[in-house]
Amino acid sequence: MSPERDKPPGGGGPSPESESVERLLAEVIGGERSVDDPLVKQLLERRPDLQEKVDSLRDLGAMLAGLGEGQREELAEARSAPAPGEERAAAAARAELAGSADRSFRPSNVHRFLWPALAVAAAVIVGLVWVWDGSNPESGQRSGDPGETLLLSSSVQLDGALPRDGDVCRLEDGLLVSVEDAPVARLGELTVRLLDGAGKVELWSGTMTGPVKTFLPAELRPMVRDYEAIVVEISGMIEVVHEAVLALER
Amino acid sequence: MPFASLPPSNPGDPGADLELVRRALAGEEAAITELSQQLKCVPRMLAARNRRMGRPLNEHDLADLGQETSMIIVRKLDEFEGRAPLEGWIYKICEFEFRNGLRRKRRQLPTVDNDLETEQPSADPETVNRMAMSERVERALAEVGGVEAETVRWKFFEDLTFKEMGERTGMSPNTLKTRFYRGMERLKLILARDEETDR
Repeated sequence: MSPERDKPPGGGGPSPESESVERLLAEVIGGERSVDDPLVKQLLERRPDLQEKVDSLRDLGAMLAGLGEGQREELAEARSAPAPGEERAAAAARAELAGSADRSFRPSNVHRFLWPALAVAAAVIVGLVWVWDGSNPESGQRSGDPGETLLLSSSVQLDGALPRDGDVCRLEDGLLVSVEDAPVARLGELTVRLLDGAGKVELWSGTMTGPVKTFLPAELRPMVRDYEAIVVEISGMIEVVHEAVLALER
Repeated sequence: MPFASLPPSNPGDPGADLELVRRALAGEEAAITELSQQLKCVPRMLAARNRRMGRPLNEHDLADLGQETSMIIVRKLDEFEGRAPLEGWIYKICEFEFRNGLRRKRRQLPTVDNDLETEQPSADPETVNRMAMSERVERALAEVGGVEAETVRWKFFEDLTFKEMGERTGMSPNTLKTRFYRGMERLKLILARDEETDR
């Protein structure tokens, strides 16, 4: 007998009984084994301290069984007797169901988030593989292939000058982004934060979506001009459209 | 036997019920028809509860409550996980909404009507006690949570054996027995604590 077993019952902690004892008692309390069963008798002879607990849990079980019986009777009664307004309720439910089906299919929280979560996980893996490949000294310079999905998580310091079309901006992890006056990438959702030159004060943050023609969207350019140095942090997924515009250099 | 004139394909089978709910939420016409027919049980459950309580709600109240509760159920359908038959899940919501409807009615009672006090037979005390106890147990089971609480519900409210629970969940009956035992221990402690607090 383990010392754990001899702890007093109660207190909300783990059960002091071993699992085999718990299983046997569960059968008794659940009414699947008689309290007069030889195994149960043996157990209670060996462990008289359990008698009170078994009795109280059997009482609780009997009370719950009574509640369950009442519920089942009520359900049986409900099945047999028509009630006022049931056609009206069914029609309203039907209309509501049809309406909710039109709005969206929402089977469950798990299913709602499963596919997006899997898609993001797959994209992250692709991105990580790409970054790892790029960090390999033997890989040298490498372009993102059209259709490839890349994970961006980087920052760049701009010293008073905005990137112009055709400029190449060096990002800290070795990712080079060149800017052309053509869609270069489609963004899943890229989070962009503009920070002061010291990287401490957040000046703006937001998300960018859709095709990207320039490194910074037009609405951010005036903001950047006001600062001599600015840090742009970007993170998110992009899909490469043009192989010339993204390259990884070590 | 299911509630309504169009029976579901597998009454009482949580898996089949979940499939039906999913198809209905996806907009499949036949599933919407079947499910809305099944929801006829809602006014029936409320009416059965009302009879047992001595008819505190009149026909008009019941019809309104039936429609409101059906709407609530439809809006909650995406929360149905198929861990118990749809009928049992609906019953719990009906029970809860009936109590709410009764409270609303009682708040109106002094000024609007006096059905409860004079015109209707009094509620069966046993049913009233059972309702109060059922409410306490449900609150306590919600606190127990997880498989522990589910096994207690399955055992006493659905009368399932551990083997049947195993078939439903894919878990071993031995594991379910252990969880059930622990659930019962926890439930007992919570009910005792609540009783102490109420004093």
